[in-house]
Amino acid sequence: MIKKTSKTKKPVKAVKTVKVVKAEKKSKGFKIDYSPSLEGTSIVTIKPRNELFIGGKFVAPKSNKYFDTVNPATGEKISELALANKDDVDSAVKAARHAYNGEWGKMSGKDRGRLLFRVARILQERAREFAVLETLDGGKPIKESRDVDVPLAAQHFFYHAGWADKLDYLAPNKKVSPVGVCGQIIPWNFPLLMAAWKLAPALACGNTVVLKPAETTSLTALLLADVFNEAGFPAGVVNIITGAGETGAALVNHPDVNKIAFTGSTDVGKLIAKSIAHSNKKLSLELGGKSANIIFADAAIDQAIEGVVNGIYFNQGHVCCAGSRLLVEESIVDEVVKKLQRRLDMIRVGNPLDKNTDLGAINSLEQLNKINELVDLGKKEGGDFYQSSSPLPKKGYYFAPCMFSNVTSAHTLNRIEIFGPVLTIQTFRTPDEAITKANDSRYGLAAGIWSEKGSKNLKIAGALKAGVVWVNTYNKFDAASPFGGFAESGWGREGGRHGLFSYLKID
Amino acid sequence: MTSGLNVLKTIKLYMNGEFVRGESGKYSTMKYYNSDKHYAHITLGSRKDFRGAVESSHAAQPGWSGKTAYNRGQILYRMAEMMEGKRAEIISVLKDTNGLSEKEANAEVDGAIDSFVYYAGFSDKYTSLVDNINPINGPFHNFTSSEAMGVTVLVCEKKLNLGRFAAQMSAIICGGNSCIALLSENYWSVVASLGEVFATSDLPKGTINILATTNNELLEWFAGHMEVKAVSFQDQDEAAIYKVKEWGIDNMKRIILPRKDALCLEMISDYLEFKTSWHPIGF
Repeated sequence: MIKKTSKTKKPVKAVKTVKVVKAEKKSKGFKIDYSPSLEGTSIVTIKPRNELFIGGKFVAPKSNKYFDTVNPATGEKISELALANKDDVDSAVKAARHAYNGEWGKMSGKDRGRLLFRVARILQERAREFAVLETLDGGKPIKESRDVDVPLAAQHFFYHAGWADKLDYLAPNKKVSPVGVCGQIIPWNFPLLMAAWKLAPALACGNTVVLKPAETTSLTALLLADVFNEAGFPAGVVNIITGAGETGAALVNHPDVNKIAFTGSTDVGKLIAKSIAHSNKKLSLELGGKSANIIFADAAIDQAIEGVVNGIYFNQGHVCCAGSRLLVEESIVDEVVKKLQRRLDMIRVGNPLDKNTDLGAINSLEQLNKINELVDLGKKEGGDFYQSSSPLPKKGYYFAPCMFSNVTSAHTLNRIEIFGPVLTIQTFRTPDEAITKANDSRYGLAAGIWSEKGSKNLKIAGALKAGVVWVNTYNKFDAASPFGGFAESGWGREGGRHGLFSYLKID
Repeated sequence: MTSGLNVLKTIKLYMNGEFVRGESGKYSTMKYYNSDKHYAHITLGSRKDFRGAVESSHAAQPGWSGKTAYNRGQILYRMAEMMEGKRAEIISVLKDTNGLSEKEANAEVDGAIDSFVYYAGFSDKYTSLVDNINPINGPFHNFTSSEAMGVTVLVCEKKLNLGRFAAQMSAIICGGNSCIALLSENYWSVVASLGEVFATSDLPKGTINILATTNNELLEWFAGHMEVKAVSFQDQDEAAIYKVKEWGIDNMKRIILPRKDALCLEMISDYLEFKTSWHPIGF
């Protein structure tokens, strides 16, 4: 493996200043001085211009168009990405079909597994490079890219590599075969990890792929293309095209794509489902959520507080399964709110490259504006608003973590997905009321329960309409653990044995 | 002294454990096969009947899925027993109305009984095959368990096939779902007999509802109903499938299309949701 040569990036000035909503009630603060501990960026080389990865090569787009991608921590442009149009999508699908009908289609499960194992290993070897690039491109704290995103991405490839020659065990007495060419569209909150969640099972099952990363966070997916080449994948097995909604739509509607996998908002998921309803394309969707995190009076409160913080403020709240609705047993609500407020003030918002940073940059200006608008709306609707007094960097897209206590179930912020560091707090008196309130959502992605009573935990976990239930923990992920939601949170599972069925035909 | 005149059976819908006439008063006249002789008036389910069925099905679902797997298995087995008891009646009806030979009609009943028994024996086993304890990279007990999706609508194929109908129905309720079956013309004459099988099998009322409908009349209504969680669409009409998929998007319904093999594990897992729970391990 050749290590990339380093290139010093010049500091650039912010293009836009960002207005952050002022807190109605700011805390007195909790001041601890931390010496900055900045992760170096010399390990990463960001090309000024990135092409499309089609048929094993980086090629210029037929559209001849490029668009900017910015570092949300500074608001500055860091690179240009090729804009794939319909013709580019067609080339990518053709390359994927060619590989499917050719070398890849004929390859044994054992060899597919061997290649995937290599990807896992290369990712581990280049982990630091990927972590830094992920943070530069998406604004997430380096400690999260380093300790969560990249290791989990590597684990996904390692886990699924082992499945490639064992697929027959999934459906005894049945014929198990790949679906064909898969179009995969992933979001901006966990760019590399989502690419791994999509690619690893699809490839293990023998499919070929055209992957479209989100337009604001495509760089790690493109670097992953390099890894597939290093690992020795046949050309066209993985194709990566960049662009926004129109590129995604061209992929979804391409007649030679057999399956679409999408992770993103429920609204876009529904649009995709509608646009391919009149076809026989297979579809798996991992969509939005408004997940309840329930604290009972018999919980280990301090642990629960940490769980709530991790549940909603992890990754700036850009998490589909974020525990955004906190339900607290009435008798302990004052204590919980007080402790949460104290904890909120200890969250360090700042430069994502600083290893001390807990909450990095909001992924894009558009998302920051959305959070601001929703929080303003929330204030109008009522509830007690509290926001951390953490100082924010002067440039870049930042939002101090906040919460609304004393809100009703009908409160807009309790109904819709914000995708930001905004928590709502309601109370309940009985377990039944907690279940009713938790299930009072069109979504059904995840939920959390905090109680030291085992039998109660099992009862509540069984009653919650959610695809993932964390008991006395939250926001844990693993390649062996199926992830996905009930109801309007999507179709199908990703990860574990159950996730493989999204990429197989069983006859 | 007998009168010599048979008592004719009124064929009604089976809703919420009762035999009822459709609220709209709409009916279809059925003749003996290849004859002009009157056989029966078939009462047809309306949109309102369908909504009523969803209410009943929704109310029944938690109780049904809350029964033990062993108990659900016994009830499914009793459906086979009741079907066996009605063999002569159903054969006679199918000969009279669908023109089946004795052998063909027998095969239909055999198919249904086989399906009920097959899934009766699966209710306390499928979770052993589809649920999972997941080997997590950390100190957590992590397991994936299946549960019912909820109210499921079963749209039968147009061609009469009692074996496949019973298999679909059994697979749906085996996993704890409640089911509303929409039966098209070829099934109308046996709607009452099937309802009687379900009514006498100790199923909680509302677990199964049966409506006779004209082809695709209720399509938009069941596909769009927000309380219906899944649709088993066994009709092969491609245009109808596309419409159902489209109308079902509002609440992200699970649309399940026919499988070649009607007796298999996948038939049950088609109608299951999977929930993964994490529990820390430690002192």
